[in-house]
Amino acid sequence: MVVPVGARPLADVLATAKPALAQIADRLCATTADASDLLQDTLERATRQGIPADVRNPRAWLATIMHNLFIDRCRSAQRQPVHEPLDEQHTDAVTSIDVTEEPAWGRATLEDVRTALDQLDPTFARVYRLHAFEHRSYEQIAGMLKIERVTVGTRLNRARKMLRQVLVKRLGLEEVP
Amino acid sequence: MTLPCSHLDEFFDGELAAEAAATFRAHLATCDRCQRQLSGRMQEAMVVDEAAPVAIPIAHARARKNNTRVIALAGMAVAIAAAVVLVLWSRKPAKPPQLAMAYTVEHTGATMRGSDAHAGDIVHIHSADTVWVYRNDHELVLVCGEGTCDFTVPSIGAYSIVVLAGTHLPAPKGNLDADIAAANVAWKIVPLTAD
Repeated sequence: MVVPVGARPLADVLATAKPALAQIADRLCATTADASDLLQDTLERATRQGIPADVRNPRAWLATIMHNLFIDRCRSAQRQPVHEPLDEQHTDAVTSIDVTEEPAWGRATLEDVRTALDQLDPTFARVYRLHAFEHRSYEQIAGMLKIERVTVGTRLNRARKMLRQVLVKRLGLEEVP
Repeated sequence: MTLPCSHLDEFFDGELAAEAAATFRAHLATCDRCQRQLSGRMQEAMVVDEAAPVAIPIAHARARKNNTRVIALAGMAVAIAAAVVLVLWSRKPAKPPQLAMAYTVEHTGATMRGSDAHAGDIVHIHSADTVWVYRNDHELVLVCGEGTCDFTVPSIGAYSIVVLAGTHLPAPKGNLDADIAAANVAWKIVPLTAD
């Protein structure tokens, strides 16, 4: 059932989105305490701002809030000495990484996502579902499907690209070559 | 040498070792490209999480199973029904089940085997109500709204397929008894053994 999320009150959106936000924070942050702080700050900022009128998918909006807060933290930490060779940062990456821009996930509805997932190649869709829906690690998926761990990462990457392509097409956006 | 940007997916998926993850966070602080892509990954995760599990039409689910047993609740053996009643009676006798649910087990192995399901099999659940699946009553395996959804049996164990009235319930936390109590709606449990 597709719920018009724009009509849902903020408290309802936060309650349903909190578990997924917590999982993302755990993956981003080095410690449980950092993740808890990031989640709390995200919820507080969302509560202060309220859902903007032009937001079609509040969950994507929440992800953006958490992302901005997380990047702020990364930048603050970077002001301290960090081990990272400068020549790795920007030189070669531009030509070797997929340059496709992310689609406007904030415009995607549940129906868009479900339809897009059904259109994925089953080989890649299965890995994607195991990871995105059942939160299996690369190692677990590799064991379940009897494939190499690196293959899991490759299939996930391919699945994400396919999903983006389907969504871009469905939402009428143009991919950046 | 591997480019930092190429580790974005592994970082976001929590697959990098602690030191490598720390290095990637430092990289993120200055890489606009990875920041944009991470934002996309995070939005994707949030939007997809809401859509999960993906509903598939029952006809489709049946058509793709050459090696599938279809099990309807109405036709289940008397012994299983008795076990369900016993479980219901012991847990919450005040709310008799009035809920409809059926599931199918898609075997992923080369041969059919005797019991309900096996690790790696895919279980497709069809219900008009909310379904939660637990392993050994304390490990949440699946949260599903109305329609058809599926999950891959992660390991051997005693699974409980819990059907609850309605589709807007409090998010389960992972303890079967506590979650049912918090939901405070009519429910029933169907056991599924995986070996």
